Amino acid sequence: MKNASLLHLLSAFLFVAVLSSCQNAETAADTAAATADAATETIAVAAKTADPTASTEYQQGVQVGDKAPTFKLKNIDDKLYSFENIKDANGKAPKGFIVTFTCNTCPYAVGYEDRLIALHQKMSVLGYPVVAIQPNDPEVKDGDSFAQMKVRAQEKGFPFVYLLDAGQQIYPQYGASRTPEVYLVDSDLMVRYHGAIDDNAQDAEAVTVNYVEKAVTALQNGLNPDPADVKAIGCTIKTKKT
Amino acid sequence: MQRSIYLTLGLLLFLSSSCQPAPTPASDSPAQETTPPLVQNVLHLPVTDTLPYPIVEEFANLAPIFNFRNDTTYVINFWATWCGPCVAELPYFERLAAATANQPVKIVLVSLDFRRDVRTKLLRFIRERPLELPVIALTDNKTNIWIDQVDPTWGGAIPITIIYRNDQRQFFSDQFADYEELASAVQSLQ
Repeated sequence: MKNASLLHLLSAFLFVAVLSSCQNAETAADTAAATADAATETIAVAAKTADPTASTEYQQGVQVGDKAPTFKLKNIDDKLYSFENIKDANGKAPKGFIVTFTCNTCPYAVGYEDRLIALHQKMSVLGYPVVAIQPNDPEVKDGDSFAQMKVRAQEKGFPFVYLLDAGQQIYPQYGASRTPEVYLVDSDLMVRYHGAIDDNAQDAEAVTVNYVEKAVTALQNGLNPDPADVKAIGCTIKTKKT
Repeated sequence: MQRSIYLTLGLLLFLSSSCQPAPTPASDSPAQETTPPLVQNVLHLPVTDTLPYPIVEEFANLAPIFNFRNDTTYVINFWATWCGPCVAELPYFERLAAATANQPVKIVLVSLDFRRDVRTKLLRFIRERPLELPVIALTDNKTNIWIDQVDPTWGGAIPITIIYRNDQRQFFSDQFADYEELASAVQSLQ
């Protein structure tokens, strides 16, 4: 009887051991998969607007030649900014604004951070500061929370305002669909250029055309930017599933 | 008492066998190293190295895939391993492939992974998942030109999916809400 109960104990122990080793294997596999692709965004839900009118409205947004929607959004310095109180590098009212929808978590947006900093440093002196707006819903994309925006801005030393589109009221008015996505707005608050920063998202060294710079130069010379609208691949702006 | 020991041991045996990782189909066999037959049937793209998928550097070489006229329904999805919503909807395409195995439906996943990742990160993702649907890696940087050729209404965010059969064509500019949405879109063209 004593032997039998010992045997029983042993088998119970083995049972638990096998079970737990099984679980370990699964966890290990999961961890491996997760680390193998650390940059993969967490599973996010993109909005699929059920209401067709709402979806059309958000698809349309503004075109080149349209008035830029105004905003008053909180910056990482906890102050509110709008077209009225953003200054250029000379402390003057800007001649225009490089409104850029961008975020912390999109690999494309991250790939453009250094270029966006350089762009601001070059253009703000000319009167065209970068105005970065983070459009993702932080409840869907944790890494894009206001606190994380502050962290990232600090790490990279963003010289431009980095505003949170709290409640996601602004990006749909622009019709922005991805990060990064630029709207170059002139002093009359008219959209003059829309789209990509340059012609090579993947490789800063291989860029041949800096579209935003080129567009600013055109405005400086009283010309219309050409091209005025350039498409690029980017990450979907993250919203809650409706 | 004896009985319960046998029972436990039996259960133990069962559990340890059920613990085996799901068999990875032919992960070591050379068949895995070749392009999935579907891609070659669809596009005759050259496979230049040991990757199980072709790398297309110029969109022009991919373009024919959007204009076949042969009664087959083509489901072409643009995705990337770095795109969360894209990876989240991959199971819908896998399920569709299983459900339409005997029908004239062809699914192609066009990866927009960065050029520097297509031989490493993308390969790892496909092997580890494993992803058995046909993949084509598109590395053409001239996005401004080819995005409009795929669909003029496409802004450039992924995922997107094009489903077409001859002249009937549907463009999905967002992630599918669920499998049913994808399946019924395909069904509507049959």
